[in-house]
Amino acid sequence: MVLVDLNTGALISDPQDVATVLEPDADTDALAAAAGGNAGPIAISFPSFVDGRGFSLALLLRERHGFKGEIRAVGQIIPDQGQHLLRSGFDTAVISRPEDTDTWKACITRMRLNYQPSARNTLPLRWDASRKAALALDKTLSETDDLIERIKALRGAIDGRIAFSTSLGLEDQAILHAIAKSGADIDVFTLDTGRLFPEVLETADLSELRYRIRIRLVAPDAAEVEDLVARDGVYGFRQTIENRKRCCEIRKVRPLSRALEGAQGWLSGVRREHSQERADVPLAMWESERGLTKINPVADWSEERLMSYIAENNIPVNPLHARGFVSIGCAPCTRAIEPGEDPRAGRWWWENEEQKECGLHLNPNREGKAA
Amino acid sequence: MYRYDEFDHAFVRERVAEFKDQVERRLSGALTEEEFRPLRLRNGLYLQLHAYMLRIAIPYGVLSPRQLRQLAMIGRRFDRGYGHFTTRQNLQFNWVKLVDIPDVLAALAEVGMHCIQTSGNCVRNTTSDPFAAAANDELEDPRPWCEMLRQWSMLHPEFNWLPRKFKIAVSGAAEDRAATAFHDIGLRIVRGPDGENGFRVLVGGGMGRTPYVGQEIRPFLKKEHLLSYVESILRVYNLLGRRDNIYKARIKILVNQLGIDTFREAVEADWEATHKSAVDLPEDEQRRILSYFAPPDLPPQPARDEKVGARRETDPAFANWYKHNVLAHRVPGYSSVVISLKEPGRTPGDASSDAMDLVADLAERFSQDELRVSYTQNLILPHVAIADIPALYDALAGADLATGNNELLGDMICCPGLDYCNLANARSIPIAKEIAKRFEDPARQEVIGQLRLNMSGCINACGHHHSGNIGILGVDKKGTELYQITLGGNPKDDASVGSIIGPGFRAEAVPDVIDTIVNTYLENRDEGESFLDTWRRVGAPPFKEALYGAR
Repeated sequence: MVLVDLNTGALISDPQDVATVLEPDADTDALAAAAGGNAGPIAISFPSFVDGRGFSLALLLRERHGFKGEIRAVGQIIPDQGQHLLRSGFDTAVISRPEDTDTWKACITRMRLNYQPSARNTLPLRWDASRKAALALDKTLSETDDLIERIKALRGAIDGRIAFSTSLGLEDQAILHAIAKSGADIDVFTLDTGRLFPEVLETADLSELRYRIRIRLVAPDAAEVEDLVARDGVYGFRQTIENRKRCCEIRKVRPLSRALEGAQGWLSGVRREHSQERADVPLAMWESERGLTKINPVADWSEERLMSYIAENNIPVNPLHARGFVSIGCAPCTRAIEPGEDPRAGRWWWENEEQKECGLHLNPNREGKAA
Repeated sequence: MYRYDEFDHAFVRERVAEFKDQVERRLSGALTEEEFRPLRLRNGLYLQLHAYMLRIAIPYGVLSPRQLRQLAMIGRRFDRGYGHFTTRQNLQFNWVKLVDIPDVLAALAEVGMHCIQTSGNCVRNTTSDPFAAAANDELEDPRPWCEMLRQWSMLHPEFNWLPRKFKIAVSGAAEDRAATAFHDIGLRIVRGPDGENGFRVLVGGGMGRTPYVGQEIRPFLKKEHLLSYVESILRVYNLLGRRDNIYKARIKILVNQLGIDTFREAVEADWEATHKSAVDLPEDEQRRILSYFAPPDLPPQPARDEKVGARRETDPAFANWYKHNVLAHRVPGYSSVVISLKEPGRTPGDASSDAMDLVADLAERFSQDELRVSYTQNLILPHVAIADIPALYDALAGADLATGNNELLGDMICCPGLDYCNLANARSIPIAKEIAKRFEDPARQEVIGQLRLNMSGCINACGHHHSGNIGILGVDKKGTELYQITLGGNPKDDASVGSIIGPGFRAEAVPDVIDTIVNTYLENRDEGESFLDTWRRVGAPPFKEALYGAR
């Protein structure tokens, strides 16, 4: 008898004796009896290699009867079934033609990828593929500091639409510049909340002229805005945090979700220095909530690096920055800050630090804190 | 549509390499022909009468222009400049050489296509409504669920060696355009008790030697449990389905032997014991797949277009084509256009490489880069603005692709038959061509109205003769081709299997026979009745009388 280890393809020199042999028509009682004894290896017999009942029997032994011992395939099987056997719960197979040993080994190791869970892999490689791809992209991006190279790399890594949500802030302008220089096909849009500073729109116009890239304005649902204002008042967001969050939800969060629907990648200008909440954002990560890869290509940049990039490249910026505005959102909710203040101190300045997120950029590492 | 990422590409590459190795081992003698046959079938490779035939999956009938162009290229380079669209949303090349197969597979892999499990006793290509995300009677887009089934079924370790082949169809619309009742598992998306969508699950439908309409195993299944429930059905079938007789091995036989209630108990018991969370797709993976199927952004347009209206007034051929091949769309001002591959005198379902290239161009110009393939062997442009219809028509008419016979008698489903297939007992293509010629006059087809005519060249029923309003089955009686006629089949809601009307006819008599049947219907029909309505009202006697009365 030649016994092959289905995990490695190696031959097993001193096989244990089989405790039970199950025929392919074994019923639940027979399976329970075989698994319950736990006396030693269970053999499942294949009368023909096209008779696939044994695969289900092995799976049932593992999953329903909790059998942990060796399951051995005996009878008529071919090397090309090695993967099916292993993944259904078999450990070993008796091979009829000793000259096939090398073929068995090759067949067992050649298919690495799979789409479904099995007795061997509770997490199919497919299910985890997106997360792994995002991790790999994060690593690739971290290997260069050149923003144009980063844009090219992420465009090359993601198949499908990549959406860039820009607020026309400093980081976003640097990214827009790099997108234009790289020639990468990226869908650029800004959330036109209805409360933007005129300077933001001027900057958008200027940027479109300079870079010849269309910046889409994504508006909130008109009926939702009407209902909101009818309910909370024109500046109702100043009354309570709940009101303010509802306003952000309707004017920013929902339009963003609509703009990102169907996109495979999402570019944003979030930087680690922005706030404690953003202190550990990666360059790229899989966002399972939205089913896309979120990329923050300047996450690791210091303010100094950002400012010198803007100066070196003569990138158009929002004139409000010169007047002390740093992080710029909607007009009523943004003020200029004093030198030395936290960069986001000008946003919703009447609220506490840890609540100052509109809900666009949630940090999954800190769930619960950022509402 | 779904786009392959690095994972999916790598998977197909691995499978191509595996198949290449299997071919080499066959050539070296390491694999016997008996061992190799099921392996090559699992990659869609058949040995036909004259050559190898390669069957390529078009998952749930969705194609991109780039993929169609690649198929055109393969047809030109490795076949005889054409391909054959089948009755299960696949494409077949009939003249590929064995030595070219690895190159063809590599060319397919380049555009995210494959032949995996297009044959053999395993889970086949999942089929669906070709008007998904375009039809105005749709409850929910079925394609994401088809894609989840496609991925789940790829080289499934437990279900690769079933008693017999296994076919799944999904429909998400009010009208069943996927013939779900004639599949091993038929899934209809329905609104559940809590207002949430889920699946009505049918099991045990099928054609072939013993046709059955599928029976309901579960009136409502929550969508998130799709995979675990389908697994339980397959597990019961894998363990209990007959393996001693190839003709009794399909799940329909098991379901009918046990009775649907006993079969259901077995499935539900297995499902009860399943660790569902381990089998069902996690939410984020579901979302990932769903995100590929966002409907195209179609700004509503005026529903009427003056130029189109004027053209319909003045150009009868255009008006006829428009009436039958331009279908309502969910967005005002748009339509779905059926490109008929049933021009009289041509092989139903065949498309030349040039035609494929043209249709790919038209999909880019007029249909948001989207293309579909129907099981009735036509091509579809799902999202065409009404205002673009005249330009589209002119382009199609210039290539003889503007036959206005969708769902009419001329829109026959037909298998390749004895001209290609080594299972066939009789020719089907020449008969179909003769019938098409007999009914060539569009005015006559117009009078006849909707009529599904299906023809198979053998009992395996690839031409769906059981579900044709008129079905034709070619049989071999002591060396003579005979054609048996069934009437009253219906693939849609209220599905039914046609009944044999009497003794078969010789090939040359078939056009007359169809003529007689059609005339009998016309004589007997009440105002507004379709063929099926009349058949269901009057039954067989007048048809028998007309066909056999004189004898």
